[in-house]
Amino acid sequence: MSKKKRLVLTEEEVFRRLIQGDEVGLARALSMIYREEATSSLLSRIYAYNADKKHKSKVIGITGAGGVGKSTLISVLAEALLKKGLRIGIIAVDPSSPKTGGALLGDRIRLQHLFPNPNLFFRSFSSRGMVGGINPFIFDAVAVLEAASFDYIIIETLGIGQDEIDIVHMCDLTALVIAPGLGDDVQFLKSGVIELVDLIVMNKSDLPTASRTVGILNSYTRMVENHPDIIKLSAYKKQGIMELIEYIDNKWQELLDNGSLEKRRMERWKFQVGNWMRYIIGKRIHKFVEKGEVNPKASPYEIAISTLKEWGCEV
Amino acid sequence: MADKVVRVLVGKPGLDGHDRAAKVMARALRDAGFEVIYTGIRQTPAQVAQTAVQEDVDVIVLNNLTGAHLEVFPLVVEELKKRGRDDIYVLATGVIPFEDVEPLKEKGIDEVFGPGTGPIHVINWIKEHVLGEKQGE
Repeated sequence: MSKKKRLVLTEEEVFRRLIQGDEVGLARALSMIYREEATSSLLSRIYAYNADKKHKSKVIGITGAGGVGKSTLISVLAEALLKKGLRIGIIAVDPSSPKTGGALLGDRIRLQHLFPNPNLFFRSFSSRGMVGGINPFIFDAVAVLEAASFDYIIIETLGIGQDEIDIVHMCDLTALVIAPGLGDDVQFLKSGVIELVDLIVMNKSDLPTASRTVGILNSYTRMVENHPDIIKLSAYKKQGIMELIEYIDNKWQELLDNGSLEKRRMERWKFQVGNWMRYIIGKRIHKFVEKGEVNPKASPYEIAISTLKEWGCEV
Repeated sequence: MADKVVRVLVGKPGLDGHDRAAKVMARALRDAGFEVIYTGIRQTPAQVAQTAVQEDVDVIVLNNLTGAHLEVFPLVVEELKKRGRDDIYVLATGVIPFEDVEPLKEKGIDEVFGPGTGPIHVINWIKEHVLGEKQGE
């Protein structure tokens, strides 16, 4: 059995091919980031390049519980945007196994019929056990897609519960997808992601039970001053998709014109600095705890404080 | 640096709706600690190849149970070549007669796993060729 010579690209080649929108270079840049092989210089070049660039991608987050139709919605959204001649980059996150680290990434099945297509790029990521539905690699992955100058960048989170809000920090606009029959009105009274998104997309609105959920939603929005906008559609029947695109385009333009977009992007950058700090320190903490000795008589809080002080952290 | 994460595409090119084997394979590869991307059924060779390029996988595991493997599997290799990524390993699985093994290998398939083999053989092959881990029998 002969061993194949695997494709190796230098950082220079990766960067050059990436900004030309070449799929091989783009795919490799994402792999390097994900495998933590991307030297900080590649990322520095990408961020510097993006900051100077005129073309801005619209970064749209799609989140919601498992089974509400996020992947199907993204598939019809992408189809409609491709018809307008636009270039679409999509990142989808699925869970990885806490036991083996393995993952089955199945999100692209919903839009495989749109391939082959030079204007559509889709990359599946595993969550790698990060909480919040998003890991720091995904933030940098968005920067990579921006460097490739897509018109739209769509981020699909894994199926979330109520508290995974990181997606809001990394996108220009975030939509929470819901479907009929998912819990009673108390669900909408709870805190969490619903307070932060720009838009609630009520999917499967063709189902007979939809009217009840719409009623609940309306009673929720009546109570809240700055509530998210609501769009009803059926991804499966392709109803309401053009209205969704119109909403996104108008809202994005509005955010751009009133300066909110710039502000959101600055917040995103700051958030990512924090992300990386948490990730790096988290790894060090993990290592410490793994090989640390157990002393049931000591207070875990005291050990934590004294160790952090040893590391030179102010506590 | 993180541990090497092996990415595998399970692809079903051709007009074949029998996906039980592909799903069992995908699940077994997942349990082996790999990241597995599944294309779903009835893919064209170009669809499989573009997916492999975008996902930057190390290995493609092809499966077709209709007897079309001699036609359709080499087309995937061709499409990978067109895209400059024929360095990705391509494995053939399914009901492949013994006499078809050499013709497939001549057309760029790296290994064939026919009747009598199972996911463990595919997993061991990947560990040996991608991770460089010698597998004892």
